[in-house]
Amino acid sequence: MISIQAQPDTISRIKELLGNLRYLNLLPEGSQFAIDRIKAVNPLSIIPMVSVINRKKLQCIDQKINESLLKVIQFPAQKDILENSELKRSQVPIIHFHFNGKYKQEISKKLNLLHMIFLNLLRINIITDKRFIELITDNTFGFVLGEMIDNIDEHSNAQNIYLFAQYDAEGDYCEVCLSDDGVGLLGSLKDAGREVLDSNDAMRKILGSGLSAKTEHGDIKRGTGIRYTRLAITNKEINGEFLIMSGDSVFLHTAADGEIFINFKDYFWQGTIVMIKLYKPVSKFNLYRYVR
Amino acid sequence: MSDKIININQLFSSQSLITRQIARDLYGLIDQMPEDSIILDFSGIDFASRSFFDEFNSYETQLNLSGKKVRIINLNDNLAPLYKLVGENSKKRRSISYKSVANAKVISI
Repeated sequence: MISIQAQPDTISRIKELLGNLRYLNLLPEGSQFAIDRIKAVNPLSIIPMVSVINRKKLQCIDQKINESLLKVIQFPAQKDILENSELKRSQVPIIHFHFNGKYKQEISKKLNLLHMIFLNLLRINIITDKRFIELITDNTFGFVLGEMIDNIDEHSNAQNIYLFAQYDAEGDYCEVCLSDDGVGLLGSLKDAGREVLDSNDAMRKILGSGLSAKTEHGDIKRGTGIRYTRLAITNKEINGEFLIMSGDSVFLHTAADGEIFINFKDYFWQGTIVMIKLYKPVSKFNLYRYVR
Repeated sequence: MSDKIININQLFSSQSLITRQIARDLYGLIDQMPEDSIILDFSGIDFASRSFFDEFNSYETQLNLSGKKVRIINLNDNLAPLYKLVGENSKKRRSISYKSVANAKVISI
């Protein structure tokens, strides 16, 4: 059964998430599942499960879902953001885009619109503390969200993306999680002819040396988006967390505890998940102090 | 020939320019124009990503070779420093340093 508890740190959340994903992986398509307990709902714990549940057309039969925040955020329902009039509420539901059969330009326009709409949702609906937005600044959110979304457009070849954000007033932080079901970091580099062994090797080369699937006028071009996102978030002012999960590897970088790779022994995520967590700074954050 | 002014907000019906694909589309449009002096007016654009500017900058050489001069105006206070940063970094991309992750802790679960 699914269990979502209040975990003390992100590594504990990843362990819990992995347990839930392994459980869902074993279920036949179209079957039903129950929820053991729900003590906390946060983007990283929810979004990967939603992706699997929808892909495998699983059905939640548990009544607990109706009594919890899961119902408010419309777990695990699919919503196309352009048709969803329920977005302008304080509990913004999980957002799902489906790209099947669409042209590249059409996908790009839709992602562009997603950025604009989601940035407004963060400012107006999700982050209820206006001081939080003033200090972190629209620019910071816009910047990191822009990098995440453009990476999906450029590299993922995804059919589905899921996006969810949550503001925790008690903890003074905002967490955003974006997942796609595309080719993943390994697939993207291999498709571009780069030499990589496995997911962990792909992740290390992207993070450590800027290896990218991009080319510019025939030459391999180094990637800088993830590098800048990490600089923007994991400094001592924002004190945030950056996580990327693809294949059988996770990389977690926190301002507090540094860098860690987590390797899955018997699980593989097809696609890429990115999570960012930003804490309220004590003074107005200047992104360009770090992104240069 | 006089300047051709393009209002980017109206052209893409958007206040955000995020993807590299949008930059490619913009370059494609400019490349087709008969004018050789083009002004891109960013009035009404709230946000443009680093990736968008980086991609657009990558066409600078092609535009120069085809005799086209492109100028950007009315960037807001958030975008002007980003545009400048991207322009500077595009010239020194190879020397951008990456912090090795070789010393990161490793766990298996």
